[in-house]
Amino acid sequence: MMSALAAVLAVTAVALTVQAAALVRSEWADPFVSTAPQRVPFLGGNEPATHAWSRFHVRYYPMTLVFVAFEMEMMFMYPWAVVFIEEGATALVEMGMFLTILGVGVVYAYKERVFSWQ
Amino acid sequence: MTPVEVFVAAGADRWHDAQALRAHELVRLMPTPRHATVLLVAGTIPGSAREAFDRVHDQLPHPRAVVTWDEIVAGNDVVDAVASEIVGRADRVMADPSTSSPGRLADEEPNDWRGVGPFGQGGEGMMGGTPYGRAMAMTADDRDGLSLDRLELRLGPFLGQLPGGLVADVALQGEVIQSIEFACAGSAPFVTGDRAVPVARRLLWLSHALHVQGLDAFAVGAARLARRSARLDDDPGLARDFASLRRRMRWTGLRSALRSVGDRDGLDTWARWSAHLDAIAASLDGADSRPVSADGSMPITAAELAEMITGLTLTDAVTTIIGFDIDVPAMTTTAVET
Repeated sequence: MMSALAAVLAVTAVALTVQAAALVRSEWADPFVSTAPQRVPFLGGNEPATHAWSRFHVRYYPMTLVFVAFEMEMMFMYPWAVVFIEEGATALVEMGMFLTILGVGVVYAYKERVFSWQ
Repeated sequence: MTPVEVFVAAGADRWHDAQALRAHELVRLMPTPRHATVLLVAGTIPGSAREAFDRVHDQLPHPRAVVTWDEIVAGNDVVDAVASEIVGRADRVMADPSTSSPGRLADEEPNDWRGVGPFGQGGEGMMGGTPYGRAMAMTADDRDGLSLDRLELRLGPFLGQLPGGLVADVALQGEVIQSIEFACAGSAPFVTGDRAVPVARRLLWLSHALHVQGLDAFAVGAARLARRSARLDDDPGLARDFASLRRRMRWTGLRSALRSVGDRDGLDTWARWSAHLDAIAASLDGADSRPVSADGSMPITAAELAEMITGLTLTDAVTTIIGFDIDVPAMTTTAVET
């Protein structure tokens, strides 16, 4: 048991040493560290006036919501599949009604141009 | 042999020539200076672009070397001579990294931000200070009636996707261009479509345009044809090989990508490409080099182009700009004169 623990500790020590050596080399031993001009996003020679961290309208957002909604609907079909043999045609009709209502929702979303990116 | 990675900082007068390097097996043109070992300076860099040039130079990682196109004494094939010089300089700087080209700009952040604010990120609150060195974008109305951040950028003059020397001040919200202004006289016509130019130049335009569309293998093919047409006035296989390239381009989906982009007077970017390709084919078939604008799609002014691409996504805007073979030297000259 102790020998296994010693092996783990030895490997950890080697890993940490190698990592520390790499860090020291990149930070201190390498004369070519990144400079302020190198950290500027490349725009063809100019600097951006503002930070790139900006808020904009995610236009696929309604499409994402519709996708998540239908993902959740699929979850209802698993318990339905379990009782389907017992319930028979009744379960089939009920699920048919459920999917029809969802289908109408998809048609409505399409008419409202939810699936259009632009 | 692994090709040497090169970033081209081209002036407007040498930008088309530099595209020919795409066909050379010893070098590889890179999209940003961060990927390159050698900075190739091609053509005249105007004083107004000097600071931009210095920044591009400093963005190359060490060890780096600089090659100037106009200083190379060439024999028959200037592209070969430039490529050889690039390889030689890259080999030398790799063998002795102490000869790496030193930085030109001061190693200073644009704003003092380290340690400022509750987390040392340079600001306080939603909009305060300069987090990580730059001010936050201010809000403005967008096309959906929302009030969201407006990102202000100056693109060019050394952005690989745009013609060399072209500078555009762009305001973006997300990927949508809210406003754009080109650094030139507002009414200057600046496409070459209205005049005859050598077929090699048209093929170099095609090479760059295909590269921007992500079709690099085709871009290399077009650049090779350009080099052949520049070397030999009468190459009997050239027209046939261009027809073959054009046939293969049909299978890339290019037509559907360019259709309905950049509509003007009922003509889209695909129509403009077709006009360029027809002009190349006619020149290679022995006809006189004729203007592309025979179909009335060109020329266009800077102001008209800016109006066309306002409201497009950045990708569609670049595609539209490339669809016109922009004559940047003429544009700059006109701008200076007015």
